[in-house]
Amino acid sequence: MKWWLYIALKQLFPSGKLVSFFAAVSVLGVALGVLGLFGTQSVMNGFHEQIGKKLRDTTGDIIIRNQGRPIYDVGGIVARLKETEGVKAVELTARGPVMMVVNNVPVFPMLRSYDTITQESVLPIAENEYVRLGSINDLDDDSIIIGYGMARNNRIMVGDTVEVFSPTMLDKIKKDEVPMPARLNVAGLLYTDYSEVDTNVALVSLRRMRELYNLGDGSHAIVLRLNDGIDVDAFAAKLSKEMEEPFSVTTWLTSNEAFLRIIKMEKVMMSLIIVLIIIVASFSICISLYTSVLRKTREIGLIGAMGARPVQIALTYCFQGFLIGVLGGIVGLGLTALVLHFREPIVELVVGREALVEFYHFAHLPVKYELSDALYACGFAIVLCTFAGFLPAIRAARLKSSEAMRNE
Amino acid sequence: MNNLDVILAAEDVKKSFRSPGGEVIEVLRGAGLSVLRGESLSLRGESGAGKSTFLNIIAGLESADSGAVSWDGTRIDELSNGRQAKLRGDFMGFVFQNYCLVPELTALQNVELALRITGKLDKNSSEYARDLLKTVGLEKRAKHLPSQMSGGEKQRVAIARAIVNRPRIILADEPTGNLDEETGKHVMNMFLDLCAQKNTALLLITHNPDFARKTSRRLVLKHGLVVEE
Ligand SMILES: Nc1ncnc2c1ncn2[C@@H]1O[C@H](COP(=O)(O)OP(=O)(O)O)[C@@H](O)[C@H]1O
Ligand SMILES: [Mg+2]
Repeated sequence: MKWWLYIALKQLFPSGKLVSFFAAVSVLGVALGVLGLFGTQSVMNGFHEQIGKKLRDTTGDIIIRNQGRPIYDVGGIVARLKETEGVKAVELTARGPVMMVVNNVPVFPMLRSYDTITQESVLPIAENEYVRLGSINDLDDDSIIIGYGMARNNRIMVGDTVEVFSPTMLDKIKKDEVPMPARLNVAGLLYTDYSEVDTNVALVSLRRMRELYNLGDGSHAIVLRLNDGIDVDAFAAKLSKEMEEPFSVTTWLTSNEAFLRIIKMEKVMMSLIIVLIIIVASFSICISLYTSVLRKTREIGLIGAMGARPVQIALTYCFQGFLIGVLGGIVGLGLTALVLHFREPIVELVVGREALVEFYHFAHLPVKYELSDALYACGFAIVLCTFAGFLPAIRAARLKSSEAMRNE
Repeated sequence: MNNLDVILAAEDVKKSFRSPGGEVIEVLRGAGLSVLRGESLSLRGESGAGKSTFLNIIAGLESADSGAVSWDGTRIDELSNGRQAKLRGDFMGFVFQNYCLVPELTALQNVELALRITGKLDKNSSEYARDLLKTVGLEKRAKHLPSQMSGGEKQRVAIARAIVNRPRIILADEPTGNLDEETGKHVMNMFLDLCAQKNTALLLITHNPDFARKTSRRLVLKHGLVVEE
């Protein structure tokens, strides 16, 4: 082993001691920084992925519209789309706001259609057990399935009857007719775990929705759900070429672009702030190493007299910084895995589940590890710590043995 | 006196310092000496006479204003710093008043450090380091850290470290300065014996006339010049 490596190791891990106080504290400081950085990034990745998944699960991948006019299943377009490779589900959908009166209190859900006849839906209702306390099979033209958040907020129970007024009923009022609300029986609760949906959406049969919105045989849009792993953008681009003029093709990515971008931005901003922890840690490493150089002036001088070259003396200190960075990185990654493994009780303890649901629409804290994040966090720690060793290293290398040894 | 036997020579070394006030202090005004193989020299002088400065110049740790220093016939002021450092590691050992042990290393590791730096650490030399510790009476202290040892013990470790490389000469700057009289005497006797036994030359800076008397030649640094007593 090179002697300077040996000295560096011995200063961090002295003989007869497991680890020096300086090394332990420094490694811990860096590890906490890496934990902060990598932990946040992993959680943000988790959010991003989870939100993406929820968005796809609750809205579908691709929406075909007809410039705001009703869209009809002409020329077997639905069947044709269904045959296309990569398509998992095709749904003729109608979606729109309604007023729902429960116990004389008005609620304003986004109503969505579910085709009770074809049972074709972009929502993975069966797979994900989206409907609870009831069944999607119980849904008929006289019943409704309500998001559980909305149900809870308004004390609606399965079996209750609700009155639904649609915007088209305004026309009747203008003609001095008395609009008759649809009286629907609550057949179940929608439980997607995505509070945006669970507090806003209710499902009725496609036929009921067409009636409420005066759509005849039409619908508002055709929604596609693609198989996992299909490139949604490429598929949309191809589809958009095939579809004729009035139809427009958009993807969940573009319709939620702003939201997704905010999450990405948030990840970057948080990383930038947390990087400060590592910078602060590296400053204190720099100061400690520098103090150690000053304290060891004589020994360093003697090592120089014994034939050590300045570069080698410098390496002793650079290597200590480097090693602290490496260890801090490794311990930090380990800590991240540990902390995120127990994230549920931690979140509960620190912020409470309510906050999580309120801000991110999730009941559970999602996590997704990405190798690149781990490498960035560790790499950053290592580079900064190595830099922290530079100043002390230069100081040590420039010590003149003669003066070092005069040092009283 | 055979020239081949001169292992270290300094001629007409001059060195002056400028004090912060701006006045020039001439410390060495043409000091010189030559050391023969295996001989022991003592250098005395008043405090501030320039003994440490002279020793640093001889060791190549400080440069003189003028004059020549050679080790084994090689002019060291003409060597690059790297070559000089390498040569010094092999050629010289040092013992200082402040023991200068690396606090994180055990006694044995401190001795071995001299071998590591000069790239000579192997099984044999490590065994030799152990033997030397035994010779200076510290075989039971091999695994102790400097903080667990007394001043006399630390200085004995430093002596073992200075000698482990089998240097041609050891430069010692008041090695017993920090020790009490009794311990100092004990350590010094051991040191002188060891140098004699290993046929290592010694340049010993000391205040103590008793120690000086035990060396084969006694020098005094006075008014910037080295004179035989
Ligand atoms: N780097 C320096 N700058 C200024 N003056 C110095 C320096 N080094 C030594 N001196 C001066 O040189 C003189 C000799 O010092 P030194 O060699 O340490 O004496 P000694 O070892 O004989 O006691 C002292 O007056 C000291 O103040
Ligand atoms: Mg002195």
